[in-house]
Amino acid sequence: MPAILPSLKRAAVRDTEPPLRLVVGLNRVDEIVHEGWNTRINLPTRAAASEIQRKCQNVVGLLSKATKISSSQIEYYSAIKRYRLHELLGQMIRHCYAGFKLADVEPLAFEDLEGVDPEARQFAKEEWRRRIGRRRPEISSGDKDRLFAELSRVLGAEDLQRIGEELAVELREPPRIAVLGQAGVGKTTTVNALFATEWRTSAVEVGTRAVNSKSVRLPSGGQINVFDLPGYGRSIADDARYEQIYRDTIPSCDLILLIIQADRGDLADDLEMITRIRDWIREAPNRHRTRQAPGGGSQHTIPSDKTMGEGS
Amino acid sequence: MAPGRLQRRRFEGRARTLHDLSCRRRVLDFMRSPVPSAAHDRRDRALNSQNTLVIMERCGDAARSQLAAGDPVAFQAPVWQHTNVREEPVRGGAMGLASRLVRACRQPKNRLNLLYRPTASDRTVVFLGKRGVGKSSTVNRLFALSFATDPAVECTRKPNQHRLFLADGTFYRVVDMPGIAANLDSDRRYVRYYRHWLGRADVIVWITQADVRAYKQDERFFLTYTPAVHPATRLVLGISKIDTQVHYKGPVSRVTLAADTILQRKISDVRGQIASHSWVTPERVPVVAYSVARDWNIDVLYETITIPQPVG
Repeated sequence: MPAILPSLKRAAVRDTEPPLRLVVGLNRVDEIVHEGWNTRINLPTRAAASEIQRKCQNVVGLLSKATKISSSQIEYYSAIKRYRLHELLGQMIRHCYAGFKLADVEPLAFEDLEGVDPEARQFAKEEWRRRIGRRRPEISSGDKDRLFAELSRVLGAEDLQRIGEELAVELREPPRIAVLGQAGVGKTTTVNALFATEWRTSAVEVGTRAVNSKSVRLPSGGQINVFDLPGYGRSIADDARYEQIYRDTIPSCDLILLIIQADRGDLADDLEMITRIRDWIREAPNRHRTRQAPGGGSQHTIPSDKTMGEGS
Repeated sequence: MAPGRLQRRRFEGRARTLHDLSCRRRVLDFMRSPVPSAAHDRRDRALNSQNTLVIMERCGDAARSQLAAGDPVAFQAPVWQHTNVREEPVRGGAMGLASRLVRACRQPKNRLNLLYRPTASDRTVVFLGKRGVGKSSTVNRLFALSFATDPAVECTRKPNQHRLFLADGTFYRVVDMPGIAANLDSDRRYVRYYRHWLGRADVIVWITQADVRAYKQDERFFLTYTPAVHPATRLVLGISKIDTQVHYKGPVSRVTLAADTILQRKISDVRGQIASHSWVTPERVPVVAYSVARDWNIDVLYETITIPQPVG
C-alpha cells in the first residue's frame, strides 16, 4: 500500500499540470516505405498511407507516456516533398499557447484574390458569410463596460490596471514557436519550407549550432516568432553544451513543434526531452519575457494565457 | 507430432550452371568448399562486373573450373534430421534442394532442423542498433531468413536467433536483437538480453541508419556495455538505407562524384561518432553502407561479417 501512494501522488500532480503546448510533426513520410511515394501526384501510395496512420498512432502512444497528448496534436508531412505543409501550419496556429493573438486576424479572403472570376467570387463571399460570418459573437460596448466594472470590483482597480498593462505588453509580442527535435530530423528544412527562410541545412554534419530566430508574417495575416533550435541526441557532450540554450528558449515559448522522423523508431531522446521541458516549466510556471519585463516582471501573474487561448 | 531421434543425413545437390548456384544463397551456405584466401581481395573487381563472380569465388577454384568446362558440380552437406519426418519427393538439382531447404527452415522445428552443435570454431554474430534502423530486414536479406519486420511499429521484442552452416565450414549463430532507445524504459527491459549476448558475440554488427545523425543513444550504449564485450570481438558498422541519402541510380561503380563525397563524409562521421566509443580502434572498424531495398552492397556486408579471421 505505501508503494502505491507515491505513484498516485505523482499521477495527481500530472493531472493538475497544464498540458504542454505541443504539436508533433512527423516529417519525411515519403520515406516510411520503400517506393511508397507517387511522384506524379505527390502523394503517398495506398500502402504507405496506411503505414503513416499506424506510425502516427504508435508515436502518440509512446509520447503519451511522458505527457498528455492526443491524436489531434500530431501532423504528418514531408518538408522535402512540400506535402501537407499547410496542415502543419494550421495545427501550429490551432494549438498555439497564444492563439488569441492571432484570433482577430482576418483570414485571407478568397474574394480578394486576383484572377478569380466574378461569379465564383460572389459565391465564395456568400458562403463565407453564411458559414463563418454568422458564428462570430458580437460583443457590444455595453457588455464590455459591465465586464470591466465587475472585474474591477473583484480584483480592485489597481490590479486590473496592472493586468491591462501587462496584457498590452504581451499582445505586442507575437506568439513564439520553438522548433525542436533530434539532430538531423529536418528542423531547419521544415522551417525553410514553411516560412521561406534560407537557413543553412546540411546532409551529413550538424547544420544548426545556435538558435536561429525569425519573425514571420503569415500569409493569412498575423505574425509569429520562430525559434529554430539545435538538435539534441547527437552526442552526450553536445547535449550538455546545448542544455542552457534549451532552458533559456523553450519555457518562454508558446508552442513547441516537436519534429520526429517517420522512418525512425527511436523516441528515447524525445521522451527524455519532454520530461525535462516539463520539469523546467514546473520550476518556472510563469514564463518571463526577459526582453521587456523590467525588474521583477516575472513576479506578476500574466493573465492566464491558457484560459484565454482556449477561446480562440 | 513429437520430434523423433536425430539422424545425421547427407544432402547432395548438383549445380549445372552458375545460375543454379546464384539462385539461393542458402545453397551456397551448404557447400563445404574452402574460401580462397584472396577472395575478399578480389571482391571489388567481382562486384563491379557481376554478382555471380563473387559466388564463383566462394565455390573454390576446383568448382569454378569444373563449371566453366560445362560439367555439373556435385556438392554435399551434412544436416541433422528427425527420423520421423515424412520424406518428401525430392526435386533434382540445386533448385530442388534450395526450395526444400528454404521451405524447411520456415517450418516449425519438427520438420527439418539444423542443430547447433557447439565447437571451438563456432561464431556468433549479434546485430544491434537503434529501434527501426532495419536490423531484422538486414538479417533477413543477408541470410535468407524471414524474421518479422514492420515499417511503423517495433516488432522485435526479444532476440531472434538462427543457426546457419556457412560455406567456410563453420556454424554461425545469428542473433537479431531488439532495438535500443525505443523509449525510456525499453533499454532496461532488454538489459538481460544485452548482457547475455554481448559477452558471447564474436562479431557485433552495429547498424545505424543513413539519414540519422543523432548518436547519443549509441554512445551511451557503448559506454554502458563495452566492459561486457570480449576485447577480441570484432565490430562491423553498417549504414542501412543508404539510398535515402545517396540517390543511387545503378551499380556501385556508377555512383556520382557528389554522392560519393556524401558517402565518404557519412562514413567518417559514423566512424568518429560511434566507433570512437567502442573497444576497437576507430580506424580499424570496417564501415559498410548498404541498402536492403535496393539490394546494394549486401554482398560486401556479408563478406565483411563472415571474413575468416586469423587464429591467435
